[in-house]
Amino acid sequence: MQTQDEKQEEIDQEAVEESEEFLTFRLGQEEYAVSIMRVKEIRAWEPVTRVPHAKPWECGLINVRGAIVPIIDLRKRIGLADLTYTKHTVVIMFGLENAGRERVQGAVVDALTDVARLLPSQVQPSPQLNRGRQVHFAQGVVEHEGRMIVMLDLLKALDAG
Amino acid sequence: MSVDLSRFHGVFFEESYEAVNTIETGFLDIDVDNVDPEEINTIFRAAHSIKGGSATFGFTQVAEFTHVMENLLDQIREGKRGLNQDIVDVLLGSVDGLRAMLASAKSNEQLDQEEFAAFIGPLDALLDSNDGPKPTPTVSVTAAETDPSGVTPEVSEDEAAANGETPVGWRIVFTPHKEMMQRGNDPLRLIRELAELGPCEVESDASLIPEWEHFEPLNSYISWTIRLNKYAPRTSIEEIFSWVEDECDLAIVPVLPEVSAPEAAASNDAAAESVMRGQQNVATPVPAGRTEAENSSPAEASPSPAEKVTKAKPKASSAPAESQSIRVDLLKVDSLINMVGELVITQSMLNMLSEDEDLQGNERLQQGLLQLHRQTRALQEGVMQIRMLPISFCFNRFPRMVRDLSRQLSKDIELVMSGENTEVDKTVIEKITDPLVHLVRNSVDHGIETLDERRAAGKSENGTVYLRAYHQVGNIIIEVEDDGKGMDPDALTAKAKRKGLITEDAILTDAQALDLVFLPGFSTKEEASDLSGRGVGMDVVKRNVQALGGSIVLESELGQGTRFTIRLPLTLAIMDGQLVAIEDEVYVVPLVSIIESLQPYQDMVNKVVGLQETIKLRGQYLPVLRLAEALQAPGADYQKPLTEGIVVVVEHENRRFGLFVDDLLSQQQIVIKTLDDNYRPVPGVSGATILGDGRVALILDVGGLAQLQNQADMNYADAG
Repeated sequence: MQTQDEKQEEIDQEAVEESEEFLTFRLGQEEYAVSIMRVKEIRAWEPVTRVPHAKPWECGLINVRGAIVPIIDLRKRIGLADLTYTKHTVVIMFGLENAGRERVQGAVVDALTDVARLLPSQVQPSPQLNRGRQVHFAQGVVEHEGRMIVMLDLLKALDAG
Repeated sequence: MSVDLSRFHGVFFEESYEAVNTIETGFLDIDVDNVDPEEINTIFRAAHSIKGGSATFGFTQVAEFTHVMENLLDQIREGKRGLNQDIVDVLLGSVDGLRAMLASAKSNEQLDQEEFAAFIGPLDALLDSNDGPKPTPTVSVTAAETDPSGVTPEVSEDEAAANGETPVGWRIVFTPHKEMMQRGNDPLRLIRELAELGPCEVESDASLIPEWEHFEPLNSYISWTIRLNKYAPRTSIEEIFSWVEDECDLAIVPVLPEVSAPEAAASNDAAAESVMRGQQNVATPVPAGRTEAENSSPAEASPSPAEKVTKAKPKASSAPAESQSIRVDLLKVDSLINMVGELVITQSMLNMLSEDEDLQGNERLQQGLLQLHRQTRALQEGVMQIRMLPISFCFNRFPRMVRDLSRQLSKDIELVMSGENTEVDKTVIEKITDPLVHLVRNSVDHGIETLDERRAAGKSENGTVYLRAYHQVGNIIIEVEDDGKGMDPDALTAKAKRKGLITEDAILTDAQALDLVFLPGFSTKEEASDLSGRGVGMDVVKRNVQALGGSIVLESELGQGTRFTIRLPLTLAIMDGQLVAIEDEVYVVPLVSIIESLQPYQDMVNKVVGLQETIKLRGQYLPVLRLAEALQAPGADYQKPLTEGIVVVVEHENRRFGLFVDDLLSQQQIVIKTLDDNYRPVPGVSGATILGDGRVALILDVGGLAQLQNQADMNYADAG
């Protein structure tokens, strides 16, 4: 809940009505963002149950309050090198609407960085990087407080599209 | 107004569908040669309640249709119209019509006029075909609401008091006048005619026979009290005596169903009262002639509308009390089941924690946990029970289906069902219905021979299809059996070869040959018929059964018949599982598939052509599947000698094979979770569960593993 003052402050800022909140996190050297509306919760990394014949970036299944939820490794998904999980490793649980019902999936990221208000209108097409793989999962880039943030194409990354 | 009522629509439709089922079952059970009036009454009440509801909710088509049905039924009930198979057919057809109308009413639509006419036409035709008695001048409910002129309330109340119950028979006191026989009327003939209406108990009173010297052989001295133990319309009794009404004293008194004394007294009082008021009353003995005269008097509206109301009302209000049930949204039940599932997991987690050495000494804690264990299980079982329904929900459709099909095919087939009350999970019932329809249809169409074939084979002309359900150790077994021509394993094998489904040189056991029917693209009948299948059937049946975690087995004796046995888990939500370990991973093997587990000796282990490992168990070679390899367990030794682990012997569709695991862990009841909700199906895995420590364990699908194994073998063979 926001206080009255904070709200007033925000309204003072320009173009605040159009901005949306994004959760930003780090994968390797880069910062990524996803709409916070898609995020259900953040969990610490916990051991998963491996699934036979799974894709390489699929870690396995965990129990989230009785539901069986698959976890993927976003680093591996976008083609970055393996990283040993530490106590800072977090799992973002996403809720994706699919055919009228919500599917829950988790994704392991290196670390959370911020919750940022970004303007969708400021998103620019991804610069042509040589690492084509990353571009594949990028909807575009946006500049925020002097940093470049990649807007992640979540549906593609989670194979939910 | 409809806005206010619309929230009752759900209940109306549920009740109406129930009533439609009642009507259908009623007609199917009816014996046209010996109609039980109570059966007709039951059907009538059901039709009436649909009519009442649909008129209230403004579903005019349904109301109009049931009104016509009701008229027809009323005539049958009153004995104004006989019942024959054709009429039953028309009425059964009208059941379909009702369903169609209800379905369209449900989506706030109406059947178009043509469709409606197609359904109502035969009924109208039947009604019109009767030139004798006019259709009862009832007023349709819709009209009655606005214009209740048809029946005055007073009459209906009186009728209600006197006719609160349908008579179950009549007591007739028949005292011929002395001269009756002289006029050529034989009292015995009358009694014989009466006996044709139903079983009669006849008592004669011979006390008036005079001394021999005064005896006149041509006079009748004897009087009779006849108890007709079956409902028949009063008019039909009066008709019998119509020739002698002036030559005898006749009293016809209805025998009411057993009612408690006060009620009986009350109705007698009411009867007496209405007599005093000078109104005609059927419950009191009155001279036959008078009754008849009044019955035919045009001033008296037909009593049927009043009767309908009085008969339907008490039933409707007492029905909920009898069944003692409530309707609950399935979602509520399911969320309850889910919560209990969570509770079970928490409980097993506590159990595991209590095994900690520090807590072992705390006896009261241990006792409490034990109690919690028992109570959670009891709670779980109780909650699961809510979802259980008798399988009759599925079986109910078959009498009609078999009847229709056998008439269509000109076969004489009887359906014998047993175990309709066997309870099984609602989901199982929903998903098994289509496969069963297919199997029963197959039995009727392909299984049972034509009349000529049966005669030629020296069999009785009427074929029988059996449909049975019963429980067997945590499973429900459903059998579909017929005494038809059976299947020829050689013919099946030959056909499969012709179709290229198996290789030319394949040698199959009889059981394997029968199994061919389940192959995609295999149809046992050379030419597809309207009724069943172009060969897309049996493999789909099998897939559906397997999707429910069940199995299907076909047995057949050439010339004797065929039997399909379907084995299904009672519920899809819980099962008994055997936990097995592969390295540090835990998997669940369904206990129902496990035959035995053993650690093989060296001399049991064999390798066929360096490819398929087998163990020899009591003279039988069983292929062994290394689970570590099949499940790609990381870090596992795929070459580990079989003697160093455990072989779990499992059975799938009559085939046995071994699963090689590192160790056996505990056996426990597990809550089955699907992977599809958030993930996707995994080959060889039927679902997942949550273990006591909160971790996820995969449930192995034995049938799927067998297939994986087969594919692996084939790939190997191809590569070789």
